[in-house]
Amino acid sequence: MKLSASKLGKRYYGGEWGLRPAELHFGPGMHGLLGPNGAGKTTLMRLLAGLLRPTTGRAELDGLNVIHPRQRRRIGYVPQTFQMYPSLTGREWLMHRVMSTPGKPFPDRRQASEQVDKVLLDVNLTSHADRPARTYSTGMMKRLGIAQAIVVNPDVIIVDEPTAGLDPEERLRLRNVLAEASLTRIILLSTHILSDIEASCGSVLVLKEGTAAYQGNLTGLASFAEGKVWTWEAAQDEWRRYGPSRLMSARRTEEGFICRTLAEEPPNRYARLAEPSLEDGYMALIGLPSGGGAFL
Amino acid sequence: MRTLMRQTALELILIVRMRWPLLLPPAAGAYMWLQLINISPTGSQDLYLHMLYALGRLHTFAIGLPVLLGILLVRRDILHYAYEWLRAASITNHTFLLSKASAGILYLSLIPLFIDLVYLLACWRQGLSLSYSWSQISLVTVHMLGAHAISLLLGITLGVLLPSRFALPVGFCAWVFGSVFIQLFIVGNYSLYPLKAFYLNHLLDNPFLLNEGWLGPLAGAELERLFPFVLLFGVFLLSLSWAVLGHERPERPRRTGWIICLSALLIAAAGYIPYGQMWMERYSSRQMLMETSPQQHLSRANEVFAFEVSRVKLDVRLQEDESLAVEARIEFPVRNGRPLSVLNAAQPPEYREPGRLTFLLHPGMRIKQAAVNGKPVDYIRTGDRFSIDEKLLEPNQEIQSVSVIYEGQITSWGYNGPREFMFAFASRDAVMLPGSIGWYPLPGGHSLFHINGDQLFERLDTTRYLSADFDVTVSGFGNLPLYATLNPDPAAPDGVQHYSGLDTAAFTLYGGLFEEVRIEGEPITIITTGGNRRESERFLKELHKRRLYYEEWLGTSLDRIRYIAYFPMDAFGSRYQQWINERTGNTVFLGEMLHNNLDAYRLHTVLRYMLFGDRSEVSFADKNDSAQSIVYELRETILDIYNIEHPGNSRFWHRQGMTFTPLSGPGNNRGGSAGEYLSHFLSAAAAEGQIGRLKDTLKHFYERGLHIKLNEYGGSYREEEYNSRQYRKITLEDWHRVWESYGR
Repeated sequence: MKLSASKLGKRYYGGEWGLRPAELHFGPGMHGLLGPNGAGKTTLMRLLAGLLRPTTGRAELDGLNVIHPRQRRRIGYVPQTFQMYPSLTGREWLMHRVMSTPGKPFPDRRQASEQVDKVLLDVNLTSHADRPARTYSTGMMKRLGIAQAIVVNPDVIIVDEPTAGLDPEERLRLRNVLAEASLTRIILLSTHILSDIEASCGSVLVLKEGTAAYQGNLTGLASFAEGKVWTWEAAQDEWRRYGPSRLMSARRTEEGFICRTLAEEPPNRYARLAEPSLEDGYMALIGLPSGGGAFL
Repeated sequence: MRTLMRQTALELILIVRMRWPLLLPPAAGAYMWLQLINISPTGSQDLYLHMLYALGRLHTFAIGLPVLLGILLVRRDILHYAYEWLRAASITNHTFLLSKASAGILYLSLIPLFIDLVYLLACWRQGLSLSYSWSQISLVTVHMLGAHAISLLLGITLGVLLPSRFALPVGFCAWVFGSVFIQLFIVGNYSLYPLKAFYLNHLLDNPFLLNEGWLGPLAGAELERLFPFVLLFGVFLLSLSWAVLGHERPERPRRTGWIICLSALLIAAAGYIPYGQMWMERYSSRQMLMETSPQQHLSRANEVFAFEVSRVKLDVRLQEDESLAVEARIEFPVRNGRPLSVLNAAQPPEYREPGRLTFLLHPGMRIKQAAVNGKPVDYIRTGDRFSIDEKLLEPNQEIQSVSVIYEGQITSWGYNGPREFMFAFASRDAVMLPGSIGWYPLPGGHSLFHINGDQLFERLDTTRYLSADFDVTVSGFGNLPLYATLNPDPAAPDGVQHYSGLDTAAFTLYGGLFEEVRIEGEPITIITTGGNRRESERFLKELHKRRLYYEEWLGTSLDRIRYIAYFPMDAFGSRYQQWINERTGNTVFLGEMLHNNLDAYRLHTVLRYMLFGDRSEVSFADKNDSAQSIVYELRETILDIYNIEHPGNSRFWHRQGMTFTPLSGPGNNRGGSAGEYLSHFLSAAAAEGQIGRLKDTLKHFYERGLHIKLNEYGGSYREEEYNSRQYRKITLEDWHRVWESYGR
């Protein structure tokens, strides 16, 4: 199973590139998708899900263009904003989703019902399954979104910020659901929560201004900050003078702050090199505008 | 297909769970019920007519629902940003669109269903059979379903093309445009009737739908040609939606969608061809009539050129292509080798063409052969007439004959601003051939039609002086019930119908899905639609009572009238008012209207025809001039005396007070005094027990004739000269003299 993109690019009206032509490859497992707002993550996900016609190149799942209607049942998509028919119950929709999927993935109603029950259990919606969707909380709606994507056992699941707005317990549950699903599928997970990527993904794709800046394992991304992460302990006056916005973090201690920043050169003579994290690597890769406090 | 059915079921569930849509079909049914159960006794009792008018209003508003629903159906999910996930569902674009369209149509069909159920129930309560009632409403139902379907597809297309904030106002405009604006302001003002194809509402002011007896051949035939176009246009709208949706949710190469869309558009355009051809035929037929007709101000009175006819023999056959084939033989007296003017038998009429006898004949008729006294002769066909050299008449023969064999399409469509109509039509399912339209040769005359501006009108005077013995054979109409203004002989087994009458007026032939309503003992038959049976029976009962009364009193048989044709006449004639209370031969045509019925006014109209041979309601009396005639007041007193002698009779059948229509001159009180005087006279006579004397006095005048005849127009033809009449001069002094003579 292979999801690949060849020279896949999207140019919007006005000539601006939403995604510059990129060569991408995804195998089974969970893949993180990172990038600042406007970097082209959603464009890429929609292109890979076959919801957007590319300007250049094409995306293929096992050699067949994802735009082909036959590919739809192989790709599940959960956008960041998810609404559900308010008058339908979760179970009704999932049953309809299963039963109306071409190719009869579940030959009879009993099997379909079992699959729905299983997915409802996985996303912790069993107790609310027969309530109209208009009564669901934001978190429940997110889980229902995941459920509708995985209930037909697609080969690829593309998920846009599924854990945003969820409490830690729900995040964990959802992460585990996706992790389990990734054993046999390709899962592309877009999120701003790096810990989710760190905890679940084997590889990561970083987009920057519509360009695929990095695709590889997590260690590789962290290595972008190799030799550039500095840490030191600073007094409060010194911390203020340096500018909090230029710091990656500043943890308060009894005597001041333990500061951490990204820089090519040590910011002061007390700074010591530190082990880079995924976040450091990501920040080193994409950088930040100087007005907001450039690290590099 | 399985996916489509499941998706359709889901869409239906979603519509049902919106809840408010479920209220609308019962509400439509309830509205119809209220319209049908509260019919005023003074209005038409015809349920079909009430249903149609109510439906016209309801449908105008209701047609907005499918447009709105169509927009909502696509804008609430597949094109809603928060339902983007749905685009990844394994359901194709065309399944999405088809399921929404199917669910919408299924839901919307509940509206006609409720209306039909209510209508059938109301008909059942009135004793009408379900099969008959269903045959009445089926065409309307099909139209409603079609209109709802195309409006829904229009809404879906707008929803796909535009975001909600634009689609909803544009949808509103589309609703107003399609249901009201196009017919009232575009088609009506600019006479662009082929644009009727884009009506969303054919039920509003459609004269071709009003008469259920002619429903199929008039409205049905038109909708039949329109329906394939509507269907194909619906497919085009769907394919357009599909092509545009393909941009939002790609499935296939973009070009594929547009090629299919363009193909659907071309096929829809091809589907318009039969409908367009119908309009081309209609417009070209009208154009032909326009080209052969003079402007009104250049028209001259027909009677100036008309000559007397003694006998008309017609052999009329409806051919396979529904054209008429006629063999006509006109016999007419001559003096000194020239025909006799209808205005003055002592002299010939004016000739339209010097030295040539002319006959008016509908321009659509192609003459194949003409003969004079049995010998084939040359003729000249010019516009709406043909002529024969006068020299071809036998010099020593008192009665001459002209025979002519011709055929052609008599069906002629016309319009008058926003109102369209048929001048005449003939088909196997319906026929209306007014005697004045020239479907058989009319002697002399100036023209059959005249033009006023860009409007074409049939002339009302073409047969005013025509009176002859008629012998008419009609065939080719199959099992269609035919009626005529002459008495029929028993029909031959092969469907040939024969009519004959002596010294009778123009021959009008009509037929359709009508019923003959009779009651025992009453010789008059009412030809009407099924919904009017009860009302007609009630009318005949009252008429019969009065017939017996007048025949006994006046000692004469009131047999001028044999038929009353009572149904909506809106579908034919440029001025359908002329058919509201009109008599031709032995038939009184009573145009049925929503707010008038077979009431006291109609009863007295028929009685006037029976008693006096005309229906004039014009007073000639003048309170300042006792020398003026009180003929009208005497006639009305004769009508009123029945009520005086039958005080227990329902007020429903009482004529409203004497109408005093001043002929001319200043003031609006002309004629007031004589009528009031006679009314008081009548009341006083009743109070004093002198009814017998009063009846003798009235009978005296009746026996001497109380007929009021329209005068000839004279030179120029001006219809407004209708108030020029011939009548007997009976003064109040005459009245008193006779009254006194019976008192001795």
